[in-house]
Amino acid sequence: MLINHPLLGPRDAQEFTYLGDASLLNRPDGMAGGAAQAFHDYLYLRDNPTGEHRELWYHEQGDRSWLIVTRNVSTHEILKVELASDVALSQGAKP
Amino acid sequence: MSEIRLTQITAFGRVEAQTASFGDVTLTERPDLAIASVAARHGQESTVRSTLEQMVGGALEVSSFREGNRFSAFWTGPSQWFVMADHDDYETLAASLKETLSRAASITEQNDGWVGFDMDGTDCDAVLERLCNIDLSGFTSGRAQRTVIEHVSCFVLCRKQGCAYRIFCGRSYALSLWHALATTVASATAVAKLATH
Amino acid sequence: MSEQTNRLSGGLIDTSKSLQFTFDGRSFTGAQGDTLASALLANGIRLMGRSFKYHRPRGLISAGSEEPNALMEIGTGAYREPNTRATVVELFDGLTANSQNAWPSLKFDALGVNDLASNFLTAGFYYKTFMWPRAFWEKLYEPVIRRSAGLGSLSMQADPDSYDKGFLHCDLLIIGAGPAGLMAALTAGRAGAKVILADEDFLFGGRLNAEVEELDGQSSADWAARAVAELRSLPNVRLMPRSTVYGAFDHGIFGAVERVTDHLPATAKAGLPRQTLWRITARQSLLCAGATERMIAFANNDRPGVMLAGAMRAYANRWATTAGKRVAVFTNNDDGHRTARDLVAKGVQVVAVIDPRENVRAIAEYPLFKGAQVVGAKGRLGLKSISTRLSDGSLKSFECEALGVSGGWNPNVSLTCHQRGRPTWHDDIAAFVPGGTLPVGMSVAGAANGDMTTHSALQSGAEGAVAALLALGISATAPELPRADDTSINLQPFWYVAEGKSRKWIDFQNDVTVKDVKLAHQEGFRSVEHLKRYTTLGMATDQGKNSNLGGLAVMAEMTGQAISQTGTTMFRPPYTPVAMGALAGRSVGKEFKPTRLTPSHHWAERQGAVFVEVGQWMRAQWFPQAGETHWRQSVDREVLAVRKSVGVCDVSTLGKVDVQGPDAAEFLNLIYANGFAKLAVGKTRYGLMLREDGIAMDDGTAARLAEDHFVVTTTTAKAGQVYRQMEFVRQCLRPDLDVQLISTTDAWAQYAVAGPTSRLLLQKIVDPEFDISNGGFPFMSCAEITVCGGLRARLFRISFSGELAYEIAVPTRYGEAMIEALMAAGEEFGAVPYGTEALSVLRIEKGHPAGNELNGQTSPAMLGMGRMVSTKKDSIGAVLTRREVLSDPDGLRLVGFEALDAEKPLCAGSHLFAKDAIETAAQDQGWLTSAAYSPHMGKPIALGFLKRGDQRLGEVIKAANPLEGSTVQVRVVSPHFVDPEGGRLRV
Repeated sequence: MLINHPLLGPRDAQEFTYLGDASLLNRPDGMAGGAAQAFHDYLYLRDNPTGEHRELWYHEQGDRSWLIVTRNVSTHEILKVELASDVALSQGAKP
Repeated sequence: MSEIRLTQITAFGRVEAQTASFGDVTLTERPDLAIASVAARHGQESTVRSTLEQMVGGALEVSSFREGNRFSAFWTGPSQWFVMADHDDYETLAASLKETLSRAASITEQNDGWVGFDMDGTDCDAVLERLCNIDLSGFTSGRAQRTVIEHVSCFVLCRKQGCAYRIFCGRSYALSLWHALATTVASATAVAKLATH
Repeated sequence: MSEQTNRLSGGLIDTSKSLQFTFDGRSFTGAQGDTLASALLANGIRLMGRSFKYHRPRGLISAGSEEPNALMEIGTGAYREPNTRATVVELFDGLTANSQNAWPSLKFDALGVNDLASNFLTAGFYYKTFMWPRAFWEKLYEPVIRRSAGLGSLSMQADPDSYDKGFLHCDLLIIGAGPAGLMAALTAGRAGAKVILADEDFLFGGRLNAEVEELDGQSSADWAARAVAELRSLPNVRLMPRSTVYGAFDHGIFGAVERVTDHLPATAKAGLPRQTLWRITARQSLLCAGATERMIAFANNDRPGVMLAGAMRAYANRWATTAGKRVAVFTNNDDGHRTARDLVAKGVQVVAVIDPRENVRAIAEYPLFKGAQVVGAKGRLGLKSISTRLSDGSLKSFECEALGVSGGWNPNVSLTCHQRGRPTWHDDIAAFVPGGTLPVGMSVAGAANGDMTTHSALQSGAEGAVAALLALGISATAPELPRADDTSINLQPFWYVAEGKSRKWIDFQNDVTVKDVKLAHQEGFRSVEHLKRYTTLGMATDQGKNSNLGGLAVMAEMTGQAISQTGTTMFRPPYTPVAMGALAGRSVGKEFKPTRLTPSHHWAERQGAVFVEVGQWMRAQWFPQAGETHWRQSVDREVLAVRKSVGVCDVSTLGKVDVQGPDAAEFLNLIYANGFAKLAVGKTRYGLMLREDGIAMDDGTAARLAEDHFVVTTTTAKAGQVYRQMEFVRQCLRPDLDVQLISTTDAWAQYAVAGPTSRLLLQKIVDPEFDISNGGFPFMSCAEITVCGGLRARLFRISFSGELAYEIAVPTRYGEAMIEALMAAGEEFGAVPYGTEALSVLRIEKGHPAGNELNGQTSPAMLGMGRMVSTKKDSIGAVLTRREVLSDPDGLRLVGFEALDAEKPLCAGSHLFAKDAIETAAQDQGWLTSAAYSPHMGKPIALGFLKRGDQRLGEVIKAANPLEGSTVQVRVVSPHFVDPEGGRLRV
């Protein structure tokens, strides 16, 4: 596959390491009430859709950026690639 | 005061740089480079970049590589660069940059984190296309790209398209990368000869 | 030496360059430009192989890579390659070929008796026969099947050839250099696009080289040669002959194998790779792979000499050879008539053209039998005659040595199926054409797309290139097309001859007959996928290129459906087999993976160190001294030296990550389970890193060199994983933190200097302005210092051994000089270098966990570090490690074990049982993780996880090693065998 890196353009998937569902960005607050349940859900409850999926890829043999790749897992069509740090900041990462 | 003085050796355990030639392609180890990594701190990207750009006399945007008189630098990641200088003159390059950039950047000595190899010749692309997955037609002079060569993470810099490249790998990988470079240069040279035969 | 009895005139071979070769030990002569197949035909050889299952004598049926029969072993000794298609082997001087799957000889094959037992070897034979008794499988059935079935044999030696690999990028990849491919390449090349034109053949032109046709008044082969000459002059076009594009992968990535030297004699190959594997990234691709002719099944249609009519024509026109002096043609379309015409023109006697169609006329001087069918063939080792049912119902026999058969042509859709393509049926040509979703950026032109005439192939090639470039924003104009043939072949579908009791072969490579397909239908295996697996139709190395449609047609007839409704099975990569060596490329032998050398590697070599692979690293395992004959002697000596005086160990392999920035401390607080915010500058702290699920991931130290600067160490094995996790936290979880990371693992040569006299040793190295006394540089201190008169260095007072110890780091280029300096300075203290084995013994004696204990299954509580997990802050894994199962006070705990019998070694991996328990899984109470002989304790010791271990100190239990059938008694003790109070660390 080719992943269209937002800074570097198309790069071969061999340069990347796959992690999984991009919902891993939404880490709960470990100090808040109900953290045990929240972390259980965060870590173990995943949607497993056919079709579009947002997932985390790490450009390990490149610029070391974590990317959020929106990919159709049936066709492997890549619809969108974002820098994970941009997404995390726009979601209002913790102060 | 200690009586002992420590001497330096190359990644191959030698005093002199490793070199090899096949056909008209030459490989040369570059132990004479001092290297420092520079990462801009939050909000300091433009300050750091313009300082480095002044040092190398050229722009250092994404994927750029610039060679100035005394310093050269290339982009390694978002808000991150490697700066190079002569090791004899600038062995403490990282410390000097820390003084220059103060708290605008995080700076780390990489003199011996990476080892550089120059590849020079009239048709280096025939070698490079056997080593790494870079689209060489767009990899013009002044471009830098990190990629993987024979499972070794490398930076590839283009000094002159088709004719002069510099490849860096982690110093501990030097022997393996050298094997990949040397066998590929030999192989590509032999194949080129076959084609003209 | 035999004569080239079947050599004709003309062709694209150079008979002035005569080439010697051998086949099954006999010497032959061929010409430059021959394939092994054409040279054998020219020498009158028709019998070229034995079939897979029945060992039937077979000859070649094709002139291309689809060949199912003429598989041979090429080369000798370690160079021998089995299952090579004689049709694609370019002849060279000195080539050695042997037949395979026949014993004692090709003409008399003892296992030919399988053919007589064919009634028992029908479809589903394996499933039906070898069901029971189960015990017979390994001992009887499998060895017998393996010996009797099968193809060529391996040399059983290492592959002596070298292989290369590489990466190419282009705007347009054109696969196939026939009329469509050449026209496309001219169109795109002239437009300036970056073009790659690849063809598996050594000569570009495809069918243009095999036909007697005119393009713009030139012979088709001449036109092709001129086109190639123009393409060669274009710098933006890369021509890749002898290159098979074997797979179409995601997003325009293709695999291709270029056969660099397979066509050269051994003497010309020195220093050259045999093959090169290319990974081609193409923005657009145009598949111009042509079409494959198909057989018509009739009784004994596998007699050597029966071949495809198009192949027969190619052998005559391109290679100037014929399979026989008298030939016949059996065709359901006009294309077969061209074969007859071209062979007549070459002076070959065409005894009959048999055509089931009524409305047809001869196009040259040959006897034509309309409305007729071939119903039988005679000549077990080579065709002697065919019998024909004529339109008037009479039976007529023709003596001939070869029969060309044409059942029509199948577009070569293979690569279109490698992603999500689903071929669709096309009635006009009675064949499947590319359909469904093609690989990204791929389009298809020429016969591969069902454009079967030369004119339409040229046209669709040009138009395909224009469209592909348009998609890239490159404007191109289709050149004026050369005038070329545009007549239809008037195909009348005809799949098999009903008459005749003998077997009618569909899949030549897997020995599947019309009857087998009918049997599958009868037994309920009617879907194409079931048919394929039950009969093995199309499962051979030709992937059914020759046979699929024949089988589908029979099945369609049986089910009363159209072929379009029956559907087709898919093609998968590779298009043709790829040598394992090509896939391995340069990564063979000790270059299979990269090797990393430590800064003291060359020095350690000179000391005679024994090395061990630790991941990619080569590390010194121990340093044998004169007189030591067993590794234990060396290791025990090294361990005792550290405990008594001082030892030096290269620990540069530990991962080192520079963490800088104003928020560095807060960042470390998040990635480590224990607290780091309050760590003072100049201090180092042990850190435990968890996965988010609460399992221990790694441990190490973090040294605070400045308010905004830490150096984090990781274990050797987890360096990459920890760095990735740190970047994940930095970029994905806390991009708001102002922190920067970079690996510095290779930048520093770092040595552990351990033992009671380590300080005295280091005081001789460290420049005197730095106070490293116990008061000035207490346990867990760190500092940036200088050594040996001003060289910058880092000093950490940390200990893995339990002794007074330091780790000292200098820039790597000084690393070898540093260890020499340390050893010289340590001479008066009896300093020794020690390797990973002593390092391990020392840490087991001290009770430090390492990889065996941090194995991805263990929680901080199990490691006895439950209380290290801070509850005052949030950190990765902290919440979930408090889960009941991971923090159960009655769960497994890391404890030490000592052998009751000092003579009996302990073995890591042994399982633990109560003293009197039976050794069953239900009674299992834990396991030993690390074991060693402790020279300090004078007996074997171990670390391990034991249920409620921390509450059972002193208890005697047993450690069972069922692999070796040994059980030993052990006493449960504290994991800290050495200095449990830690006094030695602090002196």
